[in-house]
Amino acid sequence: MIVYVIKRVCATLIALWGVTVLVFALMWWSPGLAGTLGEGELDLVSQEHASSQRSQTDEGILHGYLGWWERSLREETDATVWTEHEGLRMVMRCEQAGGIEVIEDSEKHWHRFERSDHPASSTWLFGDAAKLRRMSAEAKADAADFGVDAGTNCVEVRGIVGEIVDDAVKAYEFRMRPAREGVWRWRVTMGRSLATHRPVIDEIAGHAGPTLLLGTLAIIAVHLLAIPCGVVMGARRNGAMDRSLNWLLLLLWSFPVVLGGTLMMGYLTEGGLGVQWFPTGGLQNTASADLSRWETARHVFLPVTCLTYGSLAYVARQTRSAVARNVTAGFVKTARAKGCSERRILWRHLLPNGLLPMIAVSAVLLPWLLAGSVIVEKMFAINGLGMLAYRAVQNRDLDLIMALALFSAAVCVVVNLAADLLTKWADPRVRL
Amino acid sequence: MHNDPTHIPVQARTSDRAFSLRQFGLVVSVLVVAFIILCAIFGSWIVGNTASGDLAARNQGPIGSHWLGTDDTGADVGDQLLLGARTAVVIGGGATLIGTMMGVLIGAIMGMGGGWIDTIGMRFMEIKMAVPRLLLLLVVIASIGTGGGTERVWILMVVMGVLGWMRSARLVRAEVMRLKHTDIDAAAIVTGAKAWRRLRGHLLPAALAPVIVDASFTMAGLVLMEASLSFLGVGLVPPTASWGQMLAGAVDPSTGEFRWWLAVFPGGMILLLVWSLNAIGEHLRSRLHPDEEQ
Repeated sequence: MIVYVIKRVCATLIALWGVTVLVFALMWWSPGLAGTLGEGELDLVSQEHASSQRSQTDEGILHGYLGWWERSLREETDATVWTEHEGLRMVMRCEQAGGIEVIEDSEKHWHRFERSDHPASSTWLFGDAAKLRRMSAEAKADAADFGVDAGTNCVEVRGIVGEIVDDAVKAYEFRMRPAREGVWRWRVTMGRSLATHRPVIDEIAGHAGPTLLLGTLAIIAVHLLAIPCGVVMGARRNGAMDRSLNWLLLLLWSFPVVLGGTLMMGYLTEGGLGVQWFPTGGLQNTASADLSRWETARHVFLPVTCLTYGSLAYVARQTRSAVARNVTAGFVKTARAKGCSERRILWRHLLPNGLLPMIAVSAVLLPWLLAGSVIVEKMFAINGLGMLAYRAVQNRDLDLIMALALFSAAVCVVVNLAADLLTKWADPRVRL
Repeated sequence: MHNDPTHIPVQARTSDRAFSLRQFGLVVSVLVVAFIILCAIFGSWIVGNTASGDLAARNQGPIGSHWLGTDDTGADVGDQLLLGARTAVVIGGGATLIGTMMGVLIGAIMGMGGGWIDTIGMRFMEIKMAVPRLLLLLVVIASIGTGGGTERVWILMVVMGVLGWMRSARLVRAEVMRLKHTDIDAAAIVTGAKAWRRLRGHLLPAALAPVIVDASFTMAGLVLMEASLSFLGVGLVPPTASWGQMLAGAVDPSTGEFRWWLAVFPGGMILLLVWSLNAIGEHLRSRLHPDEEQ
């Protein structure tokens, strides 16, 4: 048993490593490599970031792949950086957490950099409006002077000098080179997202909530609906009930989620043509306290329905065949001989026996749900992992895509392993 | 009696009637698929290669001159449905063909080779099955960008085919392994047949039946997949008509206005095609394994 588990864990690790290679190779050799978005699709800083991810292109795929590992496992911490331009000298310490501290400043003009409020962009704004304008002109000239040193151990402070013109922030980019190498430390970050510059692991953790909620509810709903269907179907195979349910399930299975979701949007939500029972979407974060339980339920109902109905057929069929296999088994005869009612035989004897193989069946659902969440979250504007994956793919955000692929693969593989062990635990006769 | 779980009808599957409801369903499904394939072939003869927009008549409901309404470029929904049939059939059918052929080849090699060839193949399949296919497709297709014009259909077809060989490979491998040392194979070996001849002449014909059944489900899945990708805006892009992409226009992103004709008609076409393909597959499967409960 222990040997088996060790073997499986090793196989799992190899498979996950294979996933990283496969996805990396796919992205590497695809015509549009990571970070080749046109101008304007990403902000300036992101473009720099993209080119730093891409800068290893010339070095070949192996270098790129190793670079991904390095970015994933190590992060640079506080680094001292400086800039010197036309006699202007400034040294500052840059913390990866997002703070910047000025250590030395030849003109003593700027003492504090503030991070702008918007967490998605790491623009740094100066406080003083008059100097701000001066600085922006210089910084603009500055930007051309510094090349990008990516792929080495340096940290670059990339920033935006902003000025406020007609309530809009007009931003200029500036960069500073490190005076000495940044401090690296080991931490699993999975790289940094192109769009937000945050460690990928934080991005995933921040978006996992809604997806987890939807997925859990969907799995529960699938089983609650499909297992009774399957039992009823299996009990009288080819009966009228079996046939009509079979027909209905095939219809549901074939019903495109994109159509189902669109129709629900059109006829069941506020602003649609039909009844206005549900909000159009916008389940941002399950942690947000401003949604009451009832509101959350209203937000969640349609997406969960979309995720659920397609999988019903699969689970119901597996239950049906599990029940049907046992209909003639000895224990059914025994139960009947004891005088059990047919209802009791069906639900207390046949169903529990049929449930055992269902453990493995349920594990198969997970990848479907993960894939389905991309469509459903996009449709209902839910800010979960599916949406994150969609945006990552749109931005060709290499690190984020790699991490998401690895994450979903890990979930699937681990759940499969757990399902096998659970089956073994539930039924000692099963040989692994 | 009604709840008796042990009651198994003797005439289990098909009734004695010559033309049962089930067969009626099969006929309808085949007719639907045939009709959609005809649309795919002859659609462009009727409406030209791209549906031209009539800017004066944008977002019209199904009234007046445009029976099925128009979309936000003023293109006729009926015309686009016809053209969308072509992309759905080309991508669904072509990708199925590519995937199945690759799968048969790889599965046959794995089954015949056994040993380390088989191990490597299985490991690779494990890896590929671990990543949701939609994500893999998104990665590859999105990195192609939105360019490509009409060639995009072919690109999508090849990518979806090449990424989808696992199921048939698995089936063929299992069948080849099952048949490998049975009498038909032994007979072939006795006649001096080499591996290729054993495969081509003896093992593959026997192993192909489940693959052909599966192809119908695979095609249904791929049609859905293409619709989903186009719906997400990474699959086929506007000059090329696609049902999924038409569906995406049903809910106006800025105003939230719902145009039901853009949801019901293309969505209905996807549903019809997918449902028919699944029904055909179902029927074939029950014919192939009359006693297997699945």
